[in-house]
Amino acid sequence: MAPKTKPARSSFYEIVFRGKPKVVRAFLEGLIIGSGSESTVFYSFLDGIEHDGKAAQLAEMIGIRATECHVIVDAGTSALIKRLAKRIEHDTGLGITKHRKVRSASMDFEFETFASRYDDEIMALLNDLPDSLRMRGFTHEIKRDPDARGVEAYSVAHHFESEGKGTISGPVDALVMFRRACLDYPLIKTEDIELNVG
Amino acid sequence: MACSPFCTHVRILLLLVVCGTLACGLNAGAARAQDHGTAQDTEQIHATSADQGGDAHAVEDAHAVDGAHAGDDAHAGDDAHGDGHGDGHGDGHGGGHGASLTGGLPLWTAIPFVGILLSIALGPLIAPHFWHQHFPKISALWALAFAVPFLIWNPAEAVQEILHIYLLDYVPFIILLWGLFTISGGIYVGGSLRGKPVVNVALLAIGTLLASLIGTTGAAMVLVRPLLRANDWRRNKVHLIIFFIFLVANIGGSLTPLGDPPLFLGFLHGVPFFWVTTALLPHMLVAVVFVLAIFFVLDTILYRRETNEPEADPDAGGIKIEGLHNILFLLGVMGAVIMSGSLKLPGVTVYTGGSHDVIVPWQNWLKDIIIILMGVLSLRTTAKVLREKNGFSWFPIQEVAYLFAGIFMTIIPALAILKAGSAGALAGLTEAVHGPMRFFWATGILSSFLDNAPTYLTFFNSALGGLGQPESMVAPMLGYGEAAARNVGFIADLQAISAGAVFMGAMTYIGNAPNFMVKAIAEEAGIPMPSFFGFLVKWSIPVLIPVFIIVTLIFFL
Repeated sequence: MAPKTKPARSSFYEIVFRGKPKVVRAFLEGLIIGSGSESTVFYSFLDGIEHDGKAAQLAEMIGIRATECHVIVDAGTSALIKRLAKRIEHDTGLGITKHRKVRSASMDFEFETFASRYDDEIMALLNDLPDSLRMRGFTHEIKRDPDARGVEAYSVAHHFESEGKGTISGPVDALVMFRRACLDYPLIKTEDIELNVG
Repeated sequence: MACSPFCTHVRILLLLVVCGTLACGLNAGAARAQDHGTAQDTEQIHATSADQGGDAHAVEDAHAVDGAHAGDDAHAGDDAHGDGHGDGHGDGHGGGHGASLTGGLPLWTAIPFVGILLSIALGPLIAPHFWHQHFPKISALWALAFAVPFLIWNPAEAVQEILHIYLLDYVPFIILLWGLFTISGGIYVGGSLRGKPVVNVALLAIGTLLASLIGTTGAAMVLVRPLLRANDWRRNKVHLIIFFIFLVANIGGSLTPLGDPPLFLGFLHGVPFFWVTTALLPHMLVAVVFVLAIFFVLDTILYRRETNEPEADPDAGGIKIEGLHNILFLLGVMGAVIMSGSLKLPGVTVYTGGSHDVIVPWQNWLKDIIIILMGVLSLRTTAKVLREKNGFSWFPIQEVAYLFAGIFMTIIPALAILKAGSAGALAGLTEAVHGPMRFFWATGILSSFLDNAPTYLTFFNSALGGLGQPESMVAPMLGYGEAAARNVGFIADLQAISAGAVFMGAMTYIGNAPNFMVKAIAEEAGIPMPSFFGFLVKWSIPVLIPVFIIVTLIFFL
């Protein structure tokens, strides 16, 4: 394991475009390539970032009736978009309805496993959180029932059960990356990332 | 709950010995206490002997059924009690539950039956660890709740009914499941397969076919781990297990009495062995083709989303099956079961103290001995390591033995009431549920939430009760035997009941025993299986209900 170094913190901004998510995504990808800058963009419909309720998120994700697209961008890209806002709207019709700083983000998660191997893997992931992220309200319970070892048909009970849940908070970019890492662990259920904006 | 193999065998053997001893002791006592010289008894004994040789009664009954409706013929069935399965199945007792019990039992006597089925359904969901530790006691409590009052109320009839259902239903049922489970547990499917859509469809199709040969539990046990291994690299695996439950653990078992416990109970109650093979093949094919097609589309979509497919292993040897010699033992079991349905040998009278004799035909003993022999040979000739690799243990068979001891005890009044048809306390049910469509959905919906074996038996008897026919008429009504009196209505009803019980066991985790077993194995392999209601709402209702509606439209309207 390489020693962790504390990365320089950068600011992130939530921008809400009025337009279809696919169009917004295509436009931003083009803008970033065209600008030649290193940019970070997270799309809420791809990375599970909460906004405006579940129905709107679902609509955004499947592209039906979606007229808005929420994106999270780094400070440089934010400044670029802010500078070009009027031109973007004029040339592409993609208006910007919100543009605000993301102060922090948090995400609830829970997991349930029935084999110590998977519990160990998940605990290793959680114990190796990036420095910038914090865990709070974490509970972890393991139950063992030696009588329930083996295969059952009518009285299924697991000889090993573990449950855990908690909330992870910190910078949105680190949290998005951590949430992506969690996707490799199907037994972890992650909620959408909540943004603290202002 | 752990019990050594020896301990398990001893328990099962003890159960058999206790049944036999009880039978002999009670038989002797009853012989002293009762006068068997009445004309009525003499007639019954004659009827038994005649039926075992292929009787004339059956022919008369066959004509009586021609009209296919109960009404006036309702008592023809009762008259044939003690006729010993004139259909050639020969359990020596036939519809023997009927004469003394039918019509006389109030509905509340079936409360223990409902109680044990609900306990089996809800126990693992509400309190899994409590249920895991105490289910034998709970089963025994429900059994005693019926047996004790019954024995006090009418000892002679009670002993007769209990012996009948244990010796002619329970013991053969357990022995068959034990044999299939033991033998299939010795077949190990190993090697390295890559979980791609075509491979997965092939695995499910093989499992579906295998289920009818070695039982749904055996097929599930043999194939679930190869499926998991082949798809170990994939992120999206839940659907594999769901469709495995649909096809291998349920629908696939519809083609022989070995496939699924309800069908074996049907066999024990007079349905010829190969009847389901021909009668359910079209239904099964339609259901399997649709479910497999849905699976293939879904698996292809999810496969394309996978991002971490490993490189092809040049040393991978494909699939490798060990313990294949166990197929011979499986054929032995199948042969024994078919033989028992074909031979007509005299029986051993184990009890004469009730209104009917309890006679166990020699072909039944022979069948059970052969199955036990096949199981023992499998144990002796198969390397233990193969069973270990299959995660084999005796616990599932112990579960079946304990729980079905309770189910078979408590089902006695339910069957008697249903057999009474319009004269019984459930006349409303018998009248409301008629015709293939209603039988399919009523049997199916109940099989979704209660164990499908007793549910099948309940509706099987309801169909017979509705026609006023004894079990001895089952084979003739299905078009078998010299006294065949093909009854198209009954055939359609029985197809619907069989398909409903087998297919819709897939609707929930509690519909059929292997469902829960597969779910648990998958969870321990790190697959986030849906909850009880998640399974129902996200998977079985959207996938299976449309398929079952298609099956209904094609076959049951």
